[in-house]
Amino acid sequence: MEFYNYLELPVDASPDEIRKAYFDGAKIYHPDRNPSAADTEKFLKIQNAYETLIDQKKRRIYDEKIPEEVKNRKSVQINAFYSRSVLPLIEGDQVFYLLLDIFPTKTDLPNLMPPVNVCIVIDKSTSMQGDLLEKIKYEAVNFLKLLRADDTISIVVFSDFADIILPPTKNSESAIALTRIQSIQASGATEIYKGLYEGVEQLRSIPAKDQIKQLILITDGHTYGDEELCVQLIQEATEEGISFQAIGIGEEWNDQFLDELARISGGETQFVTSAQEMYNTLTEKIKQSGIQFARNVKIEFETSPYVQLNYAFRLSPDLSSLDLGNTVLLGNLLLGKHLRVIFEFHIDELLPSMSELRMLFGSIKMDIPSNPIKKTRMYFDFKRPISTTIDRALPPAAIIDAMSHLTLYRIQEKARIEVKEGNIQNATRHLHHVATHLLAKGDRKLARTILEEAQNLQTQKNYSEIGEKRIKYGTRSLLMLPEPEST
Amino acid sequence: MIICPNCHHKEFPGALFCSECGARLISLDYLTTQSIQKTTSDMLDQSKLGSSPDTLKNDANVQKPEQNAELALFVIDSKQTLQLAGRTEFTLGRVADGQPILPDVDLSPFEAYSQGVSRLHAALKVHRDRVAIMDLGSSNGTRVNGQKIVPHVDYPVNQGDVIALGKLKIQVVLR
Repeated sequence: MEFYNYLELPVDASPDEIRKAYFDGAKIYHPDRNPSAADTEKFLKIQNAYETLIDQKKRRIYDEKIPEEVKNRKSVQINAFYSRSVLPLIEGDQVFYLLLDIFPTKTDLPNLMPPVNVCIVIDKSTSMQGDLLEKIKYEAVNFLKLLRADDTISIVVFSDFADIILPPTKNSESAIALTRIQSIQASGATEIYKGLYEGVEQLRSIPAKDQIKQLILITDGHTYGDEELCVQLIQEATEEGISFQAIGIGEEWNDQFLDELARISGGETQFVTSAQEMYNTLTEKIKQSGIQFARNVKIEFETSPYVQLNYAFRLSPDLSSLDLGNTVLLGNLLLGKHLRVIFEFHIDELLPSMSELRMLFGSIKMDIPSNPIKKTRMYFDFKRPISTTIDRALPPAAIIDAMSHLTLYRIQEKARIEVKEGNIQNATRHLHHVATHLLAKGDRKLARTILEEAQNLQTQKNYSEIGEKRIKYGTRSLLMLPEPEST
Repeated sequence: MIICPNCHHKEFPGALFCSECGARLISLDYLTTQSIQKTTSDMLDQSKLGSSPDTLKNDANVQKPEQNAELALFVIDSKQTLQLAGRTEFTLGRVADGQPILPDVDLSPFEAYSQGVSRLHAALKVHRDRVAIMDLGSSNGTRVNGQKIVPHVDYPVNQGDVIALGKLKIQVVLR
């Protein structure tokens, strides 16, 4: 079984994939390139695995030794919801929605969950002085309580330089941890890269590969000039299996940038305005990492030439828009929770000769640390019949609900771009539309914030920083819907 | 293309919500665009003309003769017919104590309250030979031939269509 893990392949890998995985591994670990002894050992393992798996005869003998239940382990289920069960044959283009609902079939296996390693990266720049830092110090003891015996926590603080307050420490050694945390003092400016780098290094220093590693950034300010380095770092960290979440406090932080980082890593950014909210969010994030079932859930797909992917958004467990492309990182799968992603497709005009459209086919891959063979892959092939009669059935409620809120979020994003471009009139109109819908839904508080900002736009020609974030995260939080019924 | 009834933005068929104003589009998915394109302001102008019989006559002399369709409502459960005439717009509802605005057509004799009809439930608009219904934001909604309609949006009805105000079913009779 280990051979597949060395090459980071699922058990049904094709010879081409085995070859590719071997070359990719060799590029990193080959002794010519990398003289360290540990890497050479790793390379020998990879080579050994490759030699067995690439030879059909040897592979068959090797595979026979793997128990059937491991090979056919169905630990994850994928449900697909379509906005239409039949595609109408009409003139012109059309839009189609697909909602993927992925969830672990086992719900209660906390003992099998691998240990969690959390690293909290805290901005200690001068602006964090007061409530925020005090709250972290005050509640530190509670964070330690969230950990199980084998979990570790590490804490890095940063301003214009980074400081390791706590290297990865187990719960049992918490007394030292507490005194260290109490010693944090606010000073200096915000340079996020330095903090993140030390944080990633802390998690990298933990040798076990199949443990969960979670990086949480807490900041309240803009970073200047090191954005690209951060993006690169988080990209590398994600490849290594480190998950990233961010918490932005107050009005001054750069939400576009943190959202971007979260999107790369499959996590999310939370907006908080008070010390209490920050504490709640942080607790929630730490708890979430304790129930991480699979990470790096990735969808790889091909579409029919008639179909293009317009937009993708993850509705659960974390809210974030997703990158578009033929490989989309969907994020992590939590135990007992659903990973739900909605896709919007554009379909070109269909030909009368077509009776079925093969919309989307490919595979969903993920790493499940608790499985003997870590990589799991599932294939899908979504086809819809085409008919001249129009199907009048309403789309599934899950899609309607999601889209009713997602539409507001997207209109708000549109308004934001319009403000940047100086098109105040359109932005105001869009905000008014959003506010009208919120009033109809009974969300008066957010509606009022939006109307105030719309008025602000008339005079200031720009959003207020806090209002801009309230609107964005307020409309986004509308998407936090109850879990759909599993079918 | 579907046209958003609220802001007239064009959307591709299959879209569920208008990307400009967020209005729900689904129950309108298969309507003809013609009837949606008609703006409420057009309607209002026409009703002004129609409300004064003199101007209507004058107009009729100058332009090609036109007449609003005769409209009647057949209440299915009680098998009664209500003739509607003399206006271009009729509000449907039920009269209750202390109500500031009364509906043109009071449906309380037909057990409107227990059938879930709101005080101001819907409006019927007559324009030449076309009749449209608009839900006025009623509590229990309005259905045309079983299909729920979006509030505050005109929805065309034809001879024989069944309108349900809450649970009260009414058939449209046009002449």
